Amino acid sequence: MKVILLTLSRTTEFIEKFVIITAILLMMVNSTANAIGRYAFGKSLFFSEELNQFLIVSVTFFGFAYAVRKGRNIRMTALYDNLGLRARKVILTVISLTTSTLLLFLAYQSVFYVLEIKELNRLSPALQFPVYIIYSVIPIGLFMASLQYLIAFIMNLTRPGAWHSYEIEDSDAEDIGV
Amino acid sequence: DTWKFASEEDKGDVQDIFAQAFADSIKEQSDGDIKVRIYYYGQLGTENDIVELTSKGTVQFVSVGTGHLGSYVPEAQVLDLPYVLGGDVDVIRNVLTTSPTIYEDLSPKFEKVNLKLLTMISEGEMAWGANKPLRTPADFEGQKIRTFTSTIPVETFKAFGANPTPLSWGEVYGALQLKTVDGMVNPVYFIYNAKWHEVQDYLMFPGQQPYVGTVSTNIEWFNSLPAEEQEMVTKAIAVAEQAAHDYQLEINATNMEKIKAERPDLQVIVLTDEERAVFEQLSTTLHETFYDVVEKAYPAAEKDTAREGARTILQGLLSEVAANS
Amino acid sequence: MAGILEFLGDIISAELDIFVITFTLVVTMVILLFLSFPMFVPLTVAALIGLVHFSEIDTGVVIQQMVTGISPNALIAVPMFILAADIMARGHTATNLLGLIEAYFGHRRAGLPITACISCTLFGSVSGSTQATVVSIGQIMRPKLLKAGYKDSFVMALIINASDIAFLIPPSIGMILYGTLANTSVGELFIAGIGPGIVLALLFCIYCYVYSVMQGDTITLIPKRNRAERREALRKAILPLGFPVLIVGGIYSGAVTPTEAAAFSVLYALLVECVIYRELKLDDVLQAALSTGLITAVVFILVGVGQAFSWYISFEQIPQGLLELLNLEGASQEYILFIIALSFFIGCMFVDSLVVLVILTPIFVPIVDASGLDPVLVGVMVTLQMAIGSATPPFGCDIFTAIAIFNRPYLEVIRGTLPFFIILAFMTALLIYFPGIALFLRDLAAF
Ligand code: NA
Ligand code: NA
Repeated sequence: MKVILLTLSRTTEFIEKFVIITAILLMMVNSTANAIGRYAFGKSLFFSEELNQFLIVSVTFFGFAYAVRKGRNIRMTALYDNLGLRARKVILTVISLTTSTLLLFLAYQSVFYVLEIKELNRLSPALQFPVYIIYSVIPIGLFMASLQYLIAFIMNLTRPGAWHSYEIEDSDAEDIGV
Repeated sequence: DTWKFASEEDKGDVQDIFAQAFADSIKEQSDGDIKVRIYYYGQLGTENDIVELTSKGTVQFVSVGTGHLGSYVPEAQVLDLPYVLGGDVDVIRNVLTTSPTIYEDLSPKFEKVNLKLLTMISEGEMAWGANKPLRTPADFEGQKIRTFTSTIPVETFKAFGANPTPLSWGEVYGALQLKTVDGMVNPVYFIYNAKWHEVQDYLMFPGQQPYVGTVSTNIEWFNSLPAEEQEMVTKAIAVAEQAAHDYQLEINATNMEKIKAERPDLQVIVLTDEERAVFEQLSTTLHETFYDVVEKAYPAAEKDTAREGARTILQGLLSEVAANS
Repeated sequence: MAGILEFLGDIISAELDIFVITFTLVVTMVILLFLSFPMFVPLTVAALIGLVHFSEIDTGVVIQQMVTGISPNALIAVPMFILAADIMARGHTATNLLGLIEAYFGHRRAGLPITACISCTLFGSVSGSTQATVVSIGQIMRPKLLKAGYKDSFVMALIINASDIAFLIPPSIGMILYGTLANTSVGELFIAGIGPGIVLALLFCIYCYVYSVMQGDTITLIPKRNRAERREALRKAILPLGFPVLIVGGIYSGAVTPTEAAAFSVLYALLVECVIYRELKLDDVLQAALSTGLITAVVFILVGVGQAFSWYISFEQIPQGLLELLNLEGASQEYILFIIALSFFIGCMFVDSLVVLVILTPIFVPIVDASGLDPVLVGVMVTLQMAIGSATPPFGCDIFTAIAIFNRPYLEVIRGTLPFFIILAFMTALLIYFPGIALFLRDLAAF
């Protein structure tokens, strides 16, 4: 069982990383190619903007799942930082369970949203591509993020220490911003 | 009761005047029992969002251009084709409000996405802006013209000989000024409001087509209304259409005057019949593009019927415009 | 008492009244925030309470608006500038920029802190990220400043605050987000940020000088560099200095849009660090892309749920209702600008500045439009408040970065911030009464 879980975790992490890195680098290639095309050859990539939008949606939702896995989040920890380990563990247990539930709910909502878009047969204006296929990354990303919080919840229940995710214990967590 | 009306345009634009006149008329007819709350550009998200919200019934009315609607009702893009509606104000209005093709052949396509087409409005002729006179396809060569990203406008300017260049709204002014792009296409009132006349030296009137706005409602919701309220909606739509039409004529004329006053050196060119004929001829190649676009939006089994339907709509519209002229 | 009970009754019975809704949503958000929930949770929960409890609307709109929030094309610039900054922070860029300033100013009185300040400004002008600036300049400069006898509280406060000038100097992620939310030209915002950024850097330098004079007896000066050393420093800094030229020049020559300039800055960073300096390997680049994707996602999830939240409040027309109370209609432009600055400042005290931006901008946009205020000026003011917010307690993401990389406790990190805060408040006042500081360059560029 543990081997299966570990394999599953490694596989999904690999997929997340692959999607994020590819999308970020493609964004650069796509934007520079469009500018070079327009400036040097007077020809724009008419789908450039659309492609970038699809890439950013993928980065956001897969990257979100990856960020949760790595315990990286923007939080307000002014009170939290002054608490003892026991209180922190209680708070993280509550947070991981409720956040997991919330994300599961959003994942469920996004399945419906994707189905709705499919039903409306919405096509992207430039490429005439069915939009729902791209938006399918939304439920996947949200579901994977929800799963990470669920694992964190189980870790908090079954193990000593306070956990942000499967890999990240409280003392290792970093806050980020821009 | 509060009905919600979402428009893709800003306060004071033609679609907003329509929405306000509609709201006033409903309020008056219902003795104040029914209020219409208007949302402007961006308040409820993108053009796509407001169409979807209306389709779901969160919002009851939506006004949006045919280009954006085309993502949901591909046949509506017939009105994006150049030299179908042409440039005659009365012909355009007559066709947009009474055309059997629009209200009998095109309108049912709205029902698939849970919408009911109420009316269509012209927001004025689309003018070409540029920094040189554009009278022939040869003049368009090498010109980067900012267009809406969808297939029909992109292919239109390709057919005319230009390099169509998609660019997001906020970047157009800067891009025109710095010559990242050379020109754009929009109704005059819009060009003035966006201040694009400051960064263009020529405005061309090619008699190509108006900007067409569509007004729709959620069909289930509409059908569930009592007969007298449905009647109110129909009446208010007629009142609002008149108000939007009057306003469109006025605002396009006043803004043209303002452009001339602020940019006395800006040249206005109205294409001659011969010059138009050349572009009109080129435009016929886009009819197949339109059929392709529609066909592409349907699953394999329905492609043939869809293409045939698109052909019926385009040919019907062309003959109605011809009959009205 | 009866009034309170009645109010609670209104909340429970979901009275569709903007004050009842506002109170409920704000209280919910504050509680979840202080419980240290990830920032997207309070926003999402508040939006859901509004949709389900008060307005009985299909919650699917949350997903739709999340997508809408992250879709504007200008946002592509955010990951691009983060990636460029990350590549530069991993490579030689920061060291070389800093070496240049140190070679010319290091030996003077206050030479080192002024070097730190100008280096932060310069690095901020080549990267869109304040945190990359704290990390890359801060790590190099702090040991040098400590060795010369400057107090750690002063050093950390200086690094944090000077790094936040990166918000104002293009490229700026805060400005890209503001431009997107307020539908204002990012190019104009960029150029309008330069003036206030330089003035702020100058004010900080003056403070550094005054501080050095006051603490003169404990501070040692470093030896003066000779001409050959200076020339070598200049040579090394030329390539990194190409960044601002590329970005600003590229945009204003019309060759590229701000979004594309961001993508080119990545290309340039790759060229400089991988090909010319040969500092970075393919694996470093992939790591940089991964880390960029992660930061982008964390920010954009917030932008997305922020959009869902602001969709809800504009659906119920809450901002319009609340702002009627403030009596902003017909008020003087200075007053409106002051209210905007104050609102953003207060927001940034408690929440990440990006969250504040996402929530408050849509609320103020209609007021700005009606007041005739220049939206570009407002954008610069808002960005300035974000910069202040990131560096001032209690909540400040650059404070957290500093805690992480310098490994010092919170209270020690913030101890020296007060003088900087006073300078920043003074800068706010300057901008209200002399908007030309921001608009002068923009008007000169004839936008
Ligand atoms: Na910057
Ligand atoms: Na703060």
